[in-house]
Formats: sequence, structure tokens, C-alpha cells
Amino acid sequence: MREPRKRKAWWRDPSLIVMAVLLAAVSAAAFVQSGLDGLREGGEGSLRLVRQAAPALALGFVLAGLLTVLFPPGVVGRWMGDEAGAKGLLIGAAAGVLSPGGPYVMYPIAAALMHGGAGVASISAFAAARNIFTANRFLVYELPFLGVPLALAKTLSTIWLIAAGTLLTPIVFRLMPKGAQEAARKRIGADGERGASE
Amino acid sequence: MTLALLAGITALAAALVIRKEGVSGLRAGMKTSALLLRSVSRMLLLGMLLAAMTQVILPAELITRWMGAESGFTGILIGMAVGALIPGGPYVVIPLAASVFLAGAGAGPVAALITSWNTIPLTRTVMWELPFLGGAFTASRIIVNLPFPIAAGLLTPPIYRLLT
Repeated sequence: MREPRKRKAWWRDPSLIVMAVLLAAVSAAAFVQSGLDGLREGGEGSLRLVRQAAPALALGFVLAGLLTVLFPPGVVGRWMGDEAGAKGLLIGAAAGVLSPGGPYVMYPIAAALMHGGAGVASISAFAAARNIFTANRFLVYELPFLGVPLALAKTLSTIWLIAAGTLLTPIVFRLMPKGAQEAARKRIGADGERGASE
Repeated sequence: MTLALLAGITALAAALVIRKEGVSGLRAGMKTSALLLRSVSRMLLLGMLLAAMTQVILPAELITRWMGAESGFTGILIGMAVGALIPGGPYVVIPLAASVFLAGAGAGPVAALITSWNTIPLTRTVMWELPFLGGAFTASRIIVNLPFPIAAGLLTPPIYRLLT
């Protein structure tokens, strides 16, 4: 994964279109509700948000790039693949916390891990940490936007869920029909290979 | 404070990169940073515009009634539903959550919203997790994660009160 997958033309990106439509609808509502003043208020609010978040965002992107040099996804995968047991879980969770970038980084890594032989437990640890607490998201988005008390309270009240997710997901996975488990592993393998060759 | 911490960590990471790979490593890192920024810059901009515009039209009484500190369990469930349905990265969801919080939502429903978006997001699950990790793993993870937003909604307010 050297770079996020090739960029599509902007008008073919569904999430961008959804966002643009949402923005248009909300702006129209603001205009209907309070006329040009509403739009101006929204514009000023946006500028405030940009000014408030820009320094942290800039540092966050620099940090994310540096982390991919320090911890290349392939190397992390090997660490997790080789180590069974508690060490694999800890490395998985640490990789999740430090992993930068969006889903286009996370899921190819996870698929490559599974393909490389990392256990369901290690993947569960990686996914749980990546979903519940990442250093980058906390420092770049949560602290500046939500403020210290709320960001901290939310983090403290959810951090233990990483352990819950790590321990419980493999148990539920083993309760799934044998066929579905095998199909999942096969599919993961196929996608891992395709992802690696892209 | 946050910014100093972040700057310190970034400087440390830069030093480690230089020790490990020299200046060319630093250049490679910067290139990845630029690619990351380029790939999300449009969404980032739209996200901030949307968050600010939403705050203009959010009817404060409605937010307070449905998601305020007094909204109890219903507020947590509403936050959870919104978080699961909302698409987009942290640059969209966190500013929106902050807008809702400023408009009068309680700490519990806001924490439920963010945690739900983190753990049981509809679009990310369907677009990414299912194709990459398969049905058995995805279903197991979702089943385990379903109560997580509720836990966040119930546990965050008391800790928030302690911190303020």
C-alpha cells in the first residue's frame, strides 16, 4: 500500500456526491430559514472551523506520512503473522492505534494480515483498536473539535471496549457456520492477493 | 497544549525516520502525507462547510429535546442511529458531532454517535469490510460491537462531569 488507490474523477466518487448533495440541501435550508444572513453565518462558521483545526490537521497529515515510513504495513503484518498468542494481540492492537489513513489503508492491511496467516484474534485486535481509538484521530480531530473534557471522557469510557472486541469477536467467529468461516478465509486470501498486486 | 503534544510527537517521528532511513525516508514520508491530504482534501473542505452550515439550521430546541442531557436512553439510541448512518471520515463526523454538542446535545448521545460511527458504520462496513474481510468475520465483529455505542453513551456523562 504505497498510496491510496488511484483517484477516480471527482464526479464518480459516491461519497463526494453524497456530501455535496447534503451540503446543498443544508445550505438551501439555511437560505430558506434566514436568507443570505444564514449563508453568511455558515461561511463564517466554516472559516472559524478551518482556522481552528488547520494547524492540528497539517501536523496530523505529516505524522501519518512519517508513521507509514516507520511502520510499513507489510512489516507490521509479518510481526503479527509470526507471533501467535498474546504478543500477536498486543502488536495487532498497537498497529491499530498507530495506523494512519482511512479505510483504504486499514482494510487492505487487515486482509493482507489474514492472508499472511495472522489469526482471527490478531485481526480482531487490530480492527478493535483501529475502530475505537487511534492516536491520529484523537489528536487531530477529537481533541481540537470536541474539547479536552468531552474527548477525554469519551475515550476513557470506550478504551476498554478494545479488549472486549478483541476477546469476543473470535469467539463469535467460531460460532459461525463452518462453511462461512472457510469461505471468509478463502475470500480474504483472494482479496489479499488482488490488493497486493494492485 | 494539544498542538504542542502533536508537534512533539511529529518531531520525534521525524527524528526516528531520519535515523532509520535518512533524509530520503523523510522525503518518502512527506510524499505519503501529500497523497493522503490530496485524497481527502475535497471531503475535508465539504465536511467543514457541512458542519458549519448544519449548525446554522440545527433547531436547538429539537436537539435539546431529543439528544439533550435529559434525553436519557432515547437520546443515546438516536445518537447511535445517526452515527451508524452518517457516511464520511473523521473530518466530516467529528465536526458534525461538535456542532450537535454545541447546539445542546448531551455528552452521552454525542459519545454514542461517535462510537457508533467508529464501530458499526453502515457504509464503511458494506463498502470496505465485507468485501475485504468476508461475511463471517464482519458479522462476528458487528454482533460483538452492537452494544458498544450504548456503553459509550452510558459511561461518558459521569466521566465528563468529573472532568468539568
